[in-house]
Amino acid sequence: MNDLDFDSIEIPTDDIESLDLGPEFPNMEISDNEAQILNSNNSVSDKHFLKAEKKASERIANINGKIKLLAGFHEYGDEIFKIDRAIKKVDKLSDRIVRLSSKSGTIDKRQRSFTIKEEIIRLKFNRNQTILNNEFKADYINDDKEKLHQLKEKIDQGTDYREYKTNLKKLKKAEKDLYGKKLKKSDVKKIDEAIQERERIIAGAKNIGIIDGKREYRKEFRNVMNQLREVDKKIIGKRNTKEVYERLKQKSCYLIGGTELVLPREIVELHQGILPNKGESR
Amino acid sequence: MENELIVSGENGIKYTIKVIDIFTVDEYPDKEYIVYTFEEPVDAEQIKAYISILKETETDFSLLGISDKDEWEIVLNAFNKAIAN
Repeated sequence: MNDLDFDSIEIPTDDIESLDLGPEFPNMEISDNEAQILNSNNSVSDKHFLKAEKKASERIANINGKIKLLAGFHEYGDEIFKIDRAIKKVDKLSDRIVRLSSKSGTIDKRQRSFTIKEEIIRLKFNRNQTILNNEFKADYINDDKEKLHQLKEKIDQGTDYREYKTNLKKLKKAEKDLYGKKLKKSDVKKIDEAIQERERIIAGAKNIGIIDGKREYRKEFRNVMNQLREVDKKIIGKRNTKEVYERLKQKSCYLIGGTELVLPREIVELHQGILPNKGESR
Repeated sequence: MENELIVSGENGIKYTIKVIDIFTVDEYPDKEYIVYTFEEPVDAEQIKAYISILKETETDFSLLGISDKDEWEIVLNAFNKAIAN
C-alpha cells in the first residue's frame, strides 16, 4: 500500500502554504494599535471584530493542538466528536467575523476575516489528515508482509540446511508478530483481499475529495472511516492492542481488581502476546 | 525491564506489574483485557498472574476485576488458546 502518499494530496485553496502544521496566528495578543481601537470611541463593530478575531484565533490554535494530540491513536471517537463540535463553533464565529468586517469596512479587516476562513479549511484538512494517518496503520502490515515475502523467498532459494531452519524459524515468528496467530492459507488470502479493499476505499475517498476539508466532510468522512474499520477487522481480526499498551505507558494506571490464575513460569517468560519481544520494537 | 508498568493500588501504593498480554475476545468486542503478574511464585515452576478488564478514560486506565462468571470463562479460554499458539 505504498501509494498512500499524503504529500501528493492537493488542497484546492491556493493560499494555503503548508499542509502539515496548524495555523500560525500572529494575532494571539491584541497589539497596541488594536488596543487603541478598543479603547477609543471607534465603532462598536470594530471592537466586536477584534474580540471575535482574537477568540477565533485562540479557538483555532486550541483545536489544532487537540488534533495533534490525536496523532498515532486509533481509538478516539469521543475526541473527534468534541473536535467536530469545536470546529462547528469556530466556523460560526468566522461567519460573524466576515459580517463584522463588512460593517467596519476596511480592506485589512476583510482580508483578515478571509484568513480565518482559510485557517478553518486548513483545520478541517488537518483533522481529516490526522485521522487518515491513524487509520493507515495497515501500512505497517504491508511492510511486514514484504518481510515475510523476502523470508519465504530465501527459504525457497536457500541450499544450506541450517540457514533454512533459521529462516523458517524467523518466518514463523514474523507471521505470529504480524497476524497474532498461526495462519491458514485461506486466512492469508482473506487478508490480502481485505488489504486490496482498503486501498480501493482510500483511493475512492481521495478521488471525491473527502479529505480536502471543503466538502461536507463529517458525514462522508465518517462513512469512509466506518468502511475502513470493517476492513481492518478482516485484516487484523482484533483491535490493535499494541496501541493500548503504548497508551498504558503514557497514562496513569489504577489497579482496582484482577482475577487470579496460575501460569507456568515458562509461559510468562516466553509468551509475549501482542507486545514487542524483548529487545525488539515494531 | 521489558513490558513493565507502574500501577497505583489502594492508598496510592505503587506496584510494578509485568504485562504478559493484552487481548480482546469476540464476545465482548468493546473490552480489552490485560494479563499481568507481580511475579509471585506459587512453586518452582508456577507463578500467580491476573487478568483484569482495561477501562480507559481520557486521562487514565483502570484495571478492573472480572465479576461475571461467563465472561471470565470466555476470557480465560481465549487466553489459554493464545498461549497454546
